[in-house]
Amino acid sequence: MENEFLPRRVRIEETKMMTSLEKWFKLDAQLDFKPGQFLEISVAGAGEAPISICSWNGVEICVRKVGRVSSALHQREKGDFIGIRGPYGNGFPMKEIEGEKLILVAGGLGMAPLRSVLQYVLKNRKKYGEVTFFYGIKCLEMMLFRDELLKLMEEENVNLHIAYEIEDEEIRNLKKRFPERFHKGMVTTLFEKVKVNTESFVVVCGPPIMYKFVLKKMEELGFYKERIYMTLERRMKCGTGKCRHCVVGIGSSSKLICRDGPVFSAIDAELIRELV
Amino acid sequence: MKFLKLKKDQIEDFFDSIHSFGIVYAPVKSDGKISFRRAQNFSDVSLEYTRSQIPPKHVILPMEEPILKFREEEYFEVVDDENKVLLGVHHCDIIAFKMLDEVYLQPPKDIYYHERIKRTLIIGLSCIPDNYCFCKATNSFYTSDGFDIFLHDCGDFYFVRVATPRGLKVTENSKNLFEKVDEKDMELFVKAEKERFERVKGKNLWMIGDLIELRDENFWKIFSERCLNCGNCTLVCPTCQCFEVYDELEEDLKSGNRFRRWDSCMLRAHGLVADGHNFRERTEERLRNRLSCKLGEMRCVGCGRCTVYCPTGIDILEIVRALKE
Ligand SMILES: Cc1cc2nc3c(=O)[nH]c(=O)nc-3n(C[C@H](O)[C@H](O)[C@H](O)COP(=O)(O)OP(=O)(O)OC[C@H]3O[C@@H](n4cnc5c(N)ncnc54)[C@H](O)[C@@H]3O)c2cc1C
Ligand code: SF4
Ligand code: SF4
Ligand code: FES
Repeated sequence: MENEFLPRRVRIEETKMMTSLEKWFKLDAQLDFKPGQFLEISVAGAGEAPISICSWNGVEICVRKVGRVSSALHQREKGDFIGIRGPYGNGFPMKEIEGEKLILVAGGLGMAPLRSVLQYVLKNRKKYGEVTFFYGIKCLEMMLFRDELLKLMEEENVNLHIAYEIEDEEIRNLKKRFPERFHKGMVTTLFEKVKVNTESFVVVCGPPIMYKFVLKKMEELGFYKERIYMTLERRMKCGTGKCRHCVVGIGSSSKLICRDGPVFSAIDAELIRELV
Repeated sequence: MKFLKLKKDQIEDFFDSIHSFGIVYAPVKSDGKISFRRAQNFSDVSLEYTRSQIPPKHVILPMEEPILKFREEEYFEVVDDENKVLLGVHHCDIIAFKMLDEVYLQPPKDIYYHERIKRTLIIGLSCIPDNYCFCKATNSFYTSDGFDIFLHDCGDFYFVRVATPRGLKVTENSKNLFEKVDEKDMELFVKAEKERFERVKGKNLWMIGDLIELRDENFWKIFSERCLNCGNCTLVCPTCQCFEVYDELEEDLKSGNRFRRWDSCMLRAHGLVADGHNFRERTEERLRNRLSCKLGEMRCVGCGRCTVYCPTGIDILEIVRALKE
């Protein structure tokens, strides 16, 4: 019988430090997955942690060092092995969004799952309307996938804007190179600086605190709730609906984020208490 | 269903006969408390009991168990293939297993739970309710499935229900111990069940899920201020499913075991994520979450354990009363 808890051994093909905290890994794995799904990453001796797939072309992850598993993972290099389970979760409704305009809103590490959406959309570019990407960072030093994103700014495919909190010399130079693309403030300020179509679909990922602000902003601007999708984080131990760590909501409307999510709409946020 | 009769003076022989079907776990009394343990001799077993402190859940879902062995990044499963007999399980605890089945057997199946439950012969036993029981309210007063054999105490005999082919095999294996039931036995069975029914307090849980959601923080604080965050209430609950997973390395620092262990939503670390953010930081949030899981989602069998074993007397029915006030 298939044992869902048995990790598959995969080889690390490539790694790169993205920032002082985040490390990127390319895995030698063949997987059928959807943008927004996640893996349970296993490091023998350290344990398991849920990590989003941050790519569409191949299987890549981007991991912030915060605890036991992520620290052990940071010690792994090209050619080493790790374990994976999954993919788990529902993922973003990419089919439903086809033919429509799309705005991606990422805060910090929220870039990881949204990069998968971005790569998917670029791969299927003709199927989608105008694509806008809002990315909020603390400072340039914390910007993930920097080279890739700056390259994207030079192209016409995606309308990419960055909100930053701390300005430095480098940001000032980038502002000169890419006028109107870097804005000081939180990611929500980009909605004031950049003209957006409120009929767009929106996909959001960021730290827990970010969702409330983003949802409030969208409501003010008159976006459709059923077109706003967020991917949420909880403390997950199994990824399969068994350990109940990721429970949210009260009574019959409660959900397990790993099984029923991690992607939920702003409508869900109305019906499920404390979802965001 | 097949109905039979087992005289009480035959129960010891019956007990001896079931060992051929697996390792027998039965209610055993020690330090004045009942718990389900391996039982070799009938003299160790207490069939007349109100509730075990720890429910029989741990026989199928151990408090702590290795789920994998690993050597570097190679993982190997560790599966328990022991045949077991779980004797003396009350209605509520059987219904609790049915609730756990819904969780653990739902795809993707949890093979650890599945392998154990399918290798376990369950022999139910009618209970002796007390004032803490409220199984009528949770619809878990009586069960018609979830067991192989069920023994109903009718004074000097057990009225026996046989529900599965496996159960039938067990009774046929010791044919000489069982008798056919007649009209009189049936009447005594109904009488015994009626008496049991009278002993359980009537309670009504309608609206409870909505009330749990509607009440604000101040409501929960009345109770949570007394809470020690000890997790006893979840430890003794037959329907609690939460577990934690962790690895332990051997001395070579390369191989080791991955374990899982019961966890409690009443403990602070249950909802903790990176950056120290906690989705259920305060005790009142955790208490409300527990009540939501148990009474809001109807995953409670009314066994009363959480009230009986709470060191500060936080009473689930008192919360119900207050919710409705
Ligand atoms: C769907 C999903 C997708 C995710 N995607 C990504 C991703 O792409 N990249 C990424 O980097 N992260 C991602 N995460 C987050 C990641 O899973 C967590 O940060 C995870 O905890 C890391 O595991 P760890 O073992 O390294 O940390 P842990 O050792 O679990 O520690 C994490 C934090 O929890 C706290 N903590 C844990 N246990 C205790 C305890 N017993 N007592 C006190 N404090 C404790 C610590 O404060 C620590 O900061 C995702 C999470 C989810 C749910
Ligand atoms: S919540 Fe309390 S009464 Fe209900 S099943 Fe659990 S321990 Fe028993
Ligand atoms: S047993 Fe009582 S004191 Fe302990 S966590 Fe539960 S409610 Fe709180
Ligand atoms: S992570 Fe275990 S139930 Fe969701």
